[in-house]
Amino acid sequence: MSTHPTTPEPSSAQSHDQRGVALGEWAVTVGLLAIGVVTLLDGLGQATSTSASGVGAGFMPKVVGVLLIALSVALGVQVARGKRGEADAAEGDVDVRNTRWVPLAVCVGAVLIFIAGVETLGYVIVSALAFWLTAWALGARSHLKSAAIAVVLSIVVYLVFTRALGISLAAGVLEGVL
Amino acid sequence: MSGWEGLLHGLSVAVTPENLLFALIGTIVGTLIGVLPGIGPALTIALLLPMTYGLEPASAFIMFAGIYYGAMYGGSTTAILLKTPGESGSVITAIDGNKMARKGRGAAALATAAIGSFVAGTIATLLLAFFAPWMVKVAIQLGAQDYFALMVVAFLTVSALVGSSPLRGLISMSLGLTVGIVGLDFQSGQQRLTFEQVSLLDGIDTVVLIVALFALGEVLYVAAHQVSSRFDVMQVKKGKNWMSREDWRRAWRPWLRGTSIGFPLGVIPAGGSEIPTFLSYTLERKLSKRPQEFGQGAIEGVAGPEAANNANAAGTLVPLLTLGIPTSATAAVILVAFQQYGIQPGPQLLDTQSALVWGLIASLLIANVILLGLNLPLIGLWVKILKIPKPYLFAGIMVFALLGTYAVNGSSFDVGVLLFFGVVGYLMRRFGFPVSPMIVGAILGPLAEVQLRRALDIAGGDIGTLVSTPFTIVVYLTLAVVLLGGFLLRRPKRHNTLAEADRDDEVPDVREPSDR
Repeated sequence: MSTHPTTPEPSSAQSHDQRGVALGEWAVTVGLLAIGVVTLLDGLGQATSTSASGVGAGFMPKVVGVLLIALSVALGVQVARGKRGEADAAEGDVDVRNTRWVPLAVCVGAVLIFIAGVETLGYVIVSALAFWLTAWALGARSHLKSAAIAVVLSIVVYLVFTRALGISLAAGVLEGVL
Repeated sequence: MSGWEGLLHGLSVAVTPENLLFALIGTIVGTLIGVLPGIGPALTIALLLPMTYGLEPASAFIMFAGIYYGAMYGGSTTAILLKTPGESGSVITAIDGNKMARKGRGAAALATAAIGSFVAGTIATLLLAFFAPWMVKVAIQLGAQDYFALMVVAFLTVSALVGSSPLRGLISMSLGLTVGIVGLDFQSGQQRLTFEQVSLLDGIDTVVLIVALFALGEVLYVAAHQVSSRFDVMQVKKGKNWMSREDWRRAWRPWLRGTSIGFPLGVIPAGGSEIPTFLSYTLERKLSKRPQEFGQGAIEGVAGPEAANNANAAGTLVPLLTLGIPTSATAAVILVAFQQYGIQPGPQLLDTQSALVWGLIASLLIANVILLGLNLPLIGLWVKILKIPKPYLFAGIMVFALLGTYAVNGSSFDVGVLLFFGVVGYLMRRFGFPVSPMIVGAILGPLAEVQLRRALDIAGGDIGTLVSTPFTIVVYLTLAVVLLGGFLLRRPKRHNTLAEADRDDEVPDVREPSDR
């Protein structure tokens, strides 16, 4: 990651990038179409309503499904004509021509670890891990400092929530210690 | 209850030592979180929801009032000092506000924003207090088809007028409607889109959805595409006069004009704060004797839009509190907060929960005063918060997103839902789909379905009932005008306002090299 150019030359990245974005746009379009079809099928599969109007549980999924299918076709037409979405610029300081897959995967991994470990290892451990991994993915290089902040933050949150606010968080292996 | 009586009643609820403390905590925490880059008011409230689970409803909503206005204020600080608005309403503020900061007039820009927010917030909250009871009188005469018409308006304006592409906005809204379908049907109890998963029977928790789309989506987006792991924070010079006499002279009219644009556009669902802030900016540039200064740090360009943004935020509370219809992502989150306490906003709310609603409105006024007192002297502190290294900031957002999700039901399945919609949120940012319409769709969709099916049941399935009252006809005609007007308004200059402001940037970029 450290060797990654942070500000790529627009001209050299352009051609490669546009192909990548077009592929991504097509993937999004197909994904939306699939969601529309699933929703429509779900609506068609609902039992007939016995309500006064005959409009029942299946109505809304059918409407939304057809709507999504129509909109994804319209999006497909736009993509085919070369119209791209404008990536969110409100956050500033981002360059979407370049996707850094490793940090992205590390952040997703942090959530997966949280899911897998929160009941057994307990909130404090998985939360600290999530902090440390995310900080690392976003470019923190002082690992000990990150770790210290991670542990302190997680313990403080745990104590505030369980003691002061009366909301239970899984204690896990630290049961009895905290 | 008239507006005055209501306000006095509300003040009697809110002005107790304990509740004032909650209002103070709310404004501080709201500003603290809202000032963090990339965190707008909607996410601030969603993240702070768990904090209020242990509180009485009245105290919780008094705290929300503080959080709401605090987060609004914090957003303008990041817009001015970082050019990272974090939400669409502050995008316009970032143009001239950041230019002022670059010219060493950051203190004046922040003061203009703070005082403008105070002026607009106070006037708009008073208007809200007087408008709400009147609106209720209208609302109680509305039938199911009228409600449905209003909801259609909210859907279409929010999705077609927010963001850069109406098509992508509509897709985002439809995805929200799909999410809203998941779970048991309210009438027949049939399972919809549950894929045999027991955990999905109750539907997808809206708090989880909001945190996923806003917070986790944001973390993933920045992780994958950040240019530098440092922020480029503008300094605020110590000892500088906040605003000169000249600044005051130039700012007071834009404050008032911004308020008069922002509030009405919040009351009628006109698609969030993007349009009023843009309208205010355009108007100020037209009226100014020095239009060439706009885009180069004109104080009017901060004063007007900032006032419009805050007045708009108060305006959106009118349809939310009286009709139960959220017209922005932030309003949708507040609706969720009500639902967490088993309260459904609507025409009866002012009667059944009058202490709570008037307490909330009175607290908005109080929060405004606290914010003004807090922010002018404490701005140095908020600037220090911006100095938190970016990696720790986003790691913190990650921790609080996980916490907020897990604390709702104590279930790791919810965290899986968080991850799924976090990835969806990332893809939406990456491919230019606005997030707010999806939130509004997911929250308003089920409510609209109830009204639609109620209307059809009453009419025995006759679809003509949807346009059978004068009210519905007026609403649908107005909708057509608003959509057409919005479309024409954004025609001339809709492409990436921030990037355009960058292009004519004659100040050299002094960003420090990345430490990676």
